[in-house]
Amino acid sequence: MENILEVRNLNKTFPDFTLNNISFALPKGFITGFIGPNGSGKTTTIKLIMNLLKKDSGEITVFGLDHIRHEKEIKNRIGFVYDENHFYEELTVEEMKRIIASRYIKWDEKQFKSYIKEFGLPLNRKIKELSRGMKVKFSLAIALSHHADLLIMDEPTSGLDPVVRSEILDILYNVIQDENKGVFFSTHITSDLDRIADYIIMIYQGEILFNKSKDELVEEHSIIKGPLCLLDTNLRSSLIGIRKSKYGFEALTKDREAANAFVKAGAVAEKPVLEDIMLFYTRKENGNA
Amino acid sequence: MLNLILKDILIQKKTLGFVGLYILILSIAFQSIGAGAFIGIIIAVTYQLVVTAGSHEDKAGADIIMNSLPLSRREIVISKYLSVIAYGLLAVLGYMAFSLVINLIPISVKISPITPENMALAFTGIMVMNSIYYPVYFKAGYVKSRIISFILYFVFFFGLMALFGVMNINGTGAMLNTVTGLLSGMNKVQFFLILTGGTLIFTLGSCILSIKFYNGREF
Repeated sequence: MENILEVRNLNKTFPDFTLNNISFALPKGFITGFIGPNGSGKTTTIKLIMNLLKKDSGEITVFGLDHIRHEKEIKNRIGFVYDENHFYEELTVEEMKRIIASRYIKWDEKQFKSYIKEFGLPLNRKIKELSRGMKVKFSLAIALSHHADLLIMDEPTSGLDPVVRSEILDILYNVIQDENKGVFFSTHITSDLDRIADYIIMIYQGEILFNKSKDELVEEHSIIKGPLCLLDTNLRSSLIGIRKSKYGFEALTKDREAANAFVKAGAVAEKPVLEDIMLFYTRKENGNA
Repeated sequence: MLNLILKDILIQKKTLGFVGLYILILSIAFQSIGAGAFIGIIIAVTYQLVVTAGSHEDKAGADIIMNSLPLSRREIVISKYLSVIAYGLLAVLGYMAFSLVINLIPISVKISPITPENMALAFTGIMVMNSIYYPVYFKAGYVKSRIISFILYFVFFFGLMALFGVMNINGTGAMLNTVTGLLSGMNKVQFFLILTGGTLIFTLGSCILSIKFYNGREF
């Protein structure tokens, strides 16, 4: 399977945060979700890929090319949507588009007009007069109008209402029907990825915890719910992130045999959603303490 | 590149609307300094446009979007230096339009003439001033460099005013002759060649430094 993006042994240290030797790859033709709680390193990773931050060490290749040596060529083939609006607020949608469009070799005005129509964006309205949802849609229209092969999205759906979020996810789903494209979708709203992601990479405290297909991830994990007394057995060591209450416990496990043993002992096993997996993995230390 | 310069102008449409009013106020304020008024006004208007553009860039977090586009940091820096020339030309155009209006209406505001000598000195002023400012801007960003731009503006602006006061100049020819007279044995052409060449070398050096600083910036 050909990779559209590869990150190898990437390191970046700040005074209060370290991105620690992370490696992952994005296969072509799929949507890869990049999950993790706030402050875990998602935006830092994306900024390193986009060369907005300088890496301390490691290697990043996009379309098989070094991301710095071939920066312009690569960025011509990347569409990006960030979590915040970085457009000039005083400009109209049309003026901002004109500035950006002039930079792309493969800008497709017809495509842009079609997205503008689909999204109901007023070309003559100032950016500052657009709602948060409209600004994201404008970003998306720009990102999709120059035949980008890789879409990099950093928390694009945060702060949006469910209707707009759903519209955006539908568009991404359509984009990925072209098997030569790839989407790297960073979010902490994991329910979006439950719907559309093929692969999931989880980052926590600057380290990659896993990089797997979503189906495999959901399949190999189980949520175990049972009485507290079951925690006194040696099965406890198989649990990831334990949530206790006076009525019992809830935890995640990726040990199929342990899950079966818990069920035999009177616990209940359920299939997790991505949010469960993220929450239990990040709760690990407290739960086991 | 042209689009980046147009962008720098477009983002301050509102400010451009005030340029005429700004020139009127400055013209009234600088009536006593004769030929130096034109140079002072061009420097003041250009300073205003440079600062306003920086403020809009900072407010939008434009470094992030500009550096995510297929655009090298070198192009971004060079476009900023070229924008200074565009701002200077806009200021001259504004001044010309203002002069025209003043000549048409019965109002007693003394207009300082636009001469090649004045133009050369005004553009030298804005290029040197911004060539000192931009390396700081590209190294530290708009917010941290604001104080430097403010100091530079006052040094250049009031420095020039003081210089013209000392020279007691009233006419443009007199001003140039006084300046050239200081450089004994040098004619006007030689003077302008040295002025332009010196400014060009200084600006080029500043631009190279700015590119180096901006290449190391993180957003």
